[in-house]
Amino acid sequence: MTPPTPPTPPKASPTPPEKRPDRHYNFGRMNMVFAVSSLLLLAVTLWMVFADYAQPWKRYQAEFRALERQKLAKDTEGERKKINEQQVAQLKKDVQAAQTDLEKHNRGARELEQRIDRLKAEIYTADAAWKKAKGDLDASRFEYDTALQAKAGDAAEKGREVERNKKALEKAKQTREDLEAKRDAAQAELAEKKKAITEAEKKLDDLQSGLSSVEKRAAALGKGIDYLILNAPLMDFLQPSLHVQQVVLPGLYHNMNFTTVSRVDRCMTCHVAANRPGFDGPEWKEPFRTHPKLDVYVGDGSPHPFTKFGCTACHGGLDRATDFSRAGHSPKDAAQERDWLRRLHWERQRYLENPILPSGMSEAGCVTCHAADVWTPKATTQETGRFLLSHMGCGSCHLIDLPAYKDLRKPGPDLTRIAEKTNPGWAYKWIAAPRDFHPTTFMPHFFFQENIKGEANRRRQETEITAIVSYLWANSEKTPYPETIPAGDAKNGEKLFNSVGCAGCHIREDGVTRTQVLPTMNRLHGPNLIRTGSKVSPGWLYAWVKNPKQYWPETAMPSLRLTDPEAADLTAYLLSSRDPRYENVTPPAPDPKLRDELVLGYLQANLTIEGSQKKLATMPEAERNVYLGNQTILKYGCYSCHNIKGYDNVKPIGTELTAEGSKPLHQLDFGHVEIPETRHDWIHEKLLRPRIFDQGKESVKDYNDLLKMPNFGMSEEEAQAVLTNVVGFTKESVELSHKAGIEPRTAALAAGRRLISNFNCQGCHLIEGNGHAIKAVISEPSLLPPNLAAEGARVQSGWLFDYVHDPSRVKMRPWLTVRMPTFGFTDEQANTVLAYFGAREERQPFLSPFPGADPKSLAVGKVVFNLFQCAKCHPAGAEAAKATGMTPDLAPSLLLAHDRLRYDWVPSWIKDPQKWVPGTRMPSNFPETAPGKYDSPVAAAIDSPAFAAQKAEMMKQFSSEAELKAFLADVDKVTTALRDQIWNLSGGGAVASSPAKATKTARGGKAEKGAASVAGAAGGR
Amino acid sequence: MDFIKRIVNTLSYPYWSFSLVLVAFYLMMRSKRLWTKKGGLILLAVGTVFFILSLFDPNFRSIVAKPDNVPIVMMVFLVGFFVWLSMYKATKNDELLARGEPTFEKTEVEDKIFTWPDLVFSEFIFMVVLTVVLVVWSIVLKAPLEDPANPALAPNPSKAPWYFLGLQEMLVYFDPWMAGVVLPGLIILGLMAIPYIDTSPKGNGYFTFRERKVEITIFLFGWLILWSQMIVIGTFLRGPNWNFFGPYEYWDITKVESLVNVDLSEYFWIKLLHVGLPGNWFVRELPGILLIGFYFFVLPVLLARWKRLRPYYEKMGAPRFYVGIILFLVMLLLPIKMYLRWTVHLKYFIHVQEYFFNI
Repeated sequence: MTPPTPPTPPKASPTPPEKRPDRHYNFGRMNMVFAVSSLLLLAVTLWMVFADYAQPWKRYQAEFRALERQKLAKDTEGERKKINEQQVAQLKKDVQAAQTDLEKHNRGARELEQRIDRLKAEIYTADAAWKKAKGDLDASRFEYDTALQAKAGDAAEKGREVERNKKALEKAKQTREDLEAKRDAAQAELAEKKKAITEAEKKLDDLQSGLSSVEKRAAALGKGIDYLILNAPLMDFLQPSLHVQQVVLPGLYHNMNFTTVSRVDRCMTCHVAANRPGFDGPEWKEPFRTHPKLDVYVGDGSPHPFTKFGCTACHGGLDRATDFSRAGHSPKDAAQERDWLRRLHWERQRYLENPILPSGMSEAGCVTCHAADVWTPKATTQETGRFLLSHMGCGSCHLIDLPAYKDLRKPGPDLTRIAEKTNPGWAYKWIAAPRDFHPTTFMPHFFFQENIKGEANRRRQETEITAIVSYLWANSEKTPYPETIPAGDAKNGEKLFNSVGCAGCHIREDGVTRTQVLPTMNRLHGPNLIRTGSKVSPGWLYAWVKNPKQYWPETAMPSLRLTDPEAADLTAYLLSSRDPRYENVTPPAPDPKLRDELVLGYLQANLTIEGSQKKLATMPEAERNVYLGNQTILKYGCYSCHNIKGYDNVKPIGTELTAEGSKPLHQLDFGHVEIPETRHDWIHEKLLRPRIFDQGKESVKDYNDLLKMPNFGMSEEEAQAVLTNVVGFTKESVELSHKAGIEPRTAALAAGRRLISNFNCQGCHLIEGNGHAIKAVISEPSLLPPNLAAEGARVQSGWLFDYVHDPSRVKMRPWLTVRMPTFGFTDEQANTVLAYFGAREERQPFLSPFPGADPKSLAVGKVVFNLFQCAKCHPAGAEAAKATGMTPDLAPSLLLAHDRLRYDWVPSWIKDPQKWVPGTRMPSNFPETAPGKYDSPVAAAIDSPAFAAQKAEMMKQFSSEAELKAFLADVDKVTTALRDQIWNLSGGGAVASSPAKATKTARGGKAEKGAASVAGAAGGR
Repeated sequence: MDFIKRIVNTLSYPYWSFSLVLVAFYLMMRSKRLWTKKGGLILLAVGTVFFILSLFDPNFRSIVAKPDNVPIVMMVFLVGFFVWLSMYKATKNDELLARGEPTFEKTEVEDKIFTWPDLVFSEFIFMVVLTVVLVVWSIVLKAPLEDPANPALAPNPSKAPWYFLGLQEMLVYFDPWMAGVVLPGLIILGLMAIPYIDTSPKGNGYFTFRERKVEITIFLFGWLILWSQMIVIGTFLRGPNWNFFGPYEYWDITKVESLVNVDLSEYFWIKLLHVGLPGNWFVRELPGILLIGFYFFVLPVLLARWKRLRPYYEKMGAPRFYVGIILFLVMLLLPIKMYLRWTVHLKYFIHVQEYFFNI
């Protein structure tokens, strides 16, 4: 059957029709459209792949690889230089020679190698047989077990099968082990023949090990074909060498409102070298630099390893972001912003609650975990800021619900007895402009600020000040102090001021700014005492310097136990500074019209317009002033910093700052001020010019609606320091285990630091590396109050408790003119002090009684004590003190030692005093030969003929000279011996046999006796 | 330029813009020239020029170019295009019908084509092109991610998804249960009821305007003015605190509007009769209840007797007519309430705060 002929298409039609009649569309054109759109699809698909692939962090990682390779190349050069080329050439020649030698003289080696290869193949086969036998045994065991359970007839046969397999397995094992033994023997034989070669090669390797390890690392960073393939687009799902680096931080949360999510920091994806030392030279630019404080942060051995704390917990920012802008980088200034915009196409993240803090403000991140600490060691900007926050009284008006800001004392003085202290004229001028009187005062300017425009408002301000003064005087106690006081010598007063310790907390300088004093900021703890004569009444001042607590029981000012003549001299000195502008001032009379208008405004809060007018009409003149004063004090919140009668339960007026660092931007009123819209820029501006956001609205707002935050006259430096804290007050939540001040030790530290800053101990002492502010007036280091670096390890808790309670009970360093003041601590406060010192040195509060000295040790101690001439500086008795005289070269009397010092500490102190108290004048007698290893010079010295008598004395206790030598060579034994001698001298050095006495002395129960001896020692003056 | 911007801003405030749009709508429905290709091009050109010129204004740009709003801008153009397209076809058909010729649709139905390749191939091309568009869009416009949701910190303005912004705009004028429950419910019910109320076979399967003038006008009034325009207002012109902002105005978060609205009961008892508000809520709200009662129960009856509507009543029969007219009155309640709010600050007709019942 022939197939039907297909209909022949119109073959050679001259012009084929554009459109076939049975088609709706022109398919020639449709095909074109299809082709174009398909190509477009291909193009955008490639674009999509590229857009997904081309992420900036990959570029950074690739760039870093290249840079690191260059660095390694440089290192290679260095390593190469270290290697002695001749030596290498020689060793290479040796290897060569050994090789040829082996080949020439002993062909057995080649055969041995071949035999080993054969044996290896046989072992492989034997091993496979052994594995099979093992499998057979296991399988037959299972079958036997099943058969037994099923009580099958062939169970016994299966049991025999198991036995057979056991034997087969043993045989297979035997075969394999035999072969292995043969191989080992052959290999040993071969190694013996090749010994010369291997030895030479090893020497060569050792010589080149530094170089080869660098070369290996450089090779790993190469850009070979495998690198290109693994990191190619669409291939990078395998195991790319460029990949996102992240660390999961289970203790640090993000609060997602309904749930918490662990942070996952990916910062290292771009900041590749942040945790690797060695990338901090000037040639390394961000993001490739090492963290600048690797010993404190990020580093594995630091207290804040990045595996536990990550990066964003301190710096802020979006943890999971791998894009420069998305991570939330914030420029520190306009120049950096322009640079970022240009280079990095930076965009501000409007919706990121906590962007990365600008550089310079990173210490704000400390607050998240260190919210309980008054200062954070090594965070200097922050520490200054916290000092300013507490002294400026930020937390008095603004609630800061963080442990460090709880129960702070009011920063301003008590005003409930102000009429006894000064006069209204001075008060008026002071309130109007405190810094005009005391240039360094923390009392801010409330009045006549930049948002007060127009004569009427200026007059209103004057009226308000007058009203405040009226209220204060109307509500002050008025028991007068005696008009006349004993006459004093101002010259001697000045000497006292600069020597007894006043200068630890006070300055008396005109024309300085706070910022100039900030390096010794503890001297700003108390007021600047310039112009005191124009401020206070002499009777008040005399009584105050003698005993501040009689005027104000809660004052932090301690008593320096001044005698009456001393107090008179000091008073005379302080009163000698005067300023006539502040004397005999009468406050201006209030403008009656404006005052009544203000009073009426306040009255109308509770009364009708008519009612308030009636009420005003019934108020006499004086009452109106006092009423307005009361309202004005409420308006400005004066009672937050000062005790004023009548404001016991009034809430502070400021905005809460507890979560200021997380405050949404839209809650900050930028007004018409053109600054970058960020939280830190707003706060910064607010600190420097608190009323600035009223700019342009001065006449729009009502007088009482104008901004009220006072002006502290902050310098840029101060504002930065405060800002660095305030932006750290965030809602960040971290697990308790990450917080300081929670577990007992850090809690004790935090409480102690709070007390130390409340009472300004660092004004005189050096604590945690800070303090000694009094250095400004005492230049001789030996006359400075002691460095308390080792205090917790050094002194007994009981002794310290008694001492801080009443420092007058013992005078340890009689040559010091500075006095440890009497603070009048409660038991709780005194305990806080010793818990703090104990926690810092990680010591328990109490020790078991002194175990007593060993006679050998005592004998050596006596000799070495004299050998080292300890008594030259430490008056060990009345005689010794007399012999040396009372000069500042002295050290505390050793008679106090057993009452005061911890016996477990003294030997380690003698061994290396600088380790405990850097800069101490106590000499080191035992040179440190290697870290932690000390040499005793005594052992060598004792052989000198000059010490023959001493040697004989010691030998009484020792059986042989070797034993004595060994004792003397042991630094720990010698220092313990010295300790025993000191205990012996001070009456506590009971020999081991009298524990009763030891018990008695251990708790410092003999403080009286110690004090008496010192008094005797000091008698030489 | 600033002067023009100020004029546009002022005119865009709802009380002006709504009236202007109503006039424009009337003219639009009367016009024939608009529904030609030329008319369409002119409309498109005017819209595009306005849009492009406006883009030079930073405030306008910041709102329109927000990644959330970009598709809505496109949709505004699409709505215009499809309204024009259907009206264009309807007008053309009307001309054809007037000449006694078959409609577009009829000609199309006779002209059949093959599924393969004509349909499938063109569909395939559109699929490819659409994929290209979507890929480019997703690369170029990043997802507009904001803060994690926080119930204690709602964004300001808090906006519903764009398709609900018409309803959210209604919240300005009505109590939530009205704007959020009753009115949307009635919209859905009303749309479902249309085929049962309007049983006319005219316009089945072909576009026509002349034969369906009233129906199309009512529908377009609801769709364009009460729905689409409200979405546009809600999307582009409502800023922080749901305050109104002209298209070139800066969205100032501190903007304050004086909003003191007065209930009908207060107008009646205090302003008109100079007596205090009655204590009994029913007596107090009686004027409003009577007014609403009149609107929904008496007015339809009166309308049925009106000579202009009488033929509809007879043609449709009482049930259809009343259901239809009441739905229509519900729809009209919105513009009425809007105008009363703008002119006399009317808060509610009926304000029974005792039972949270407000109209």
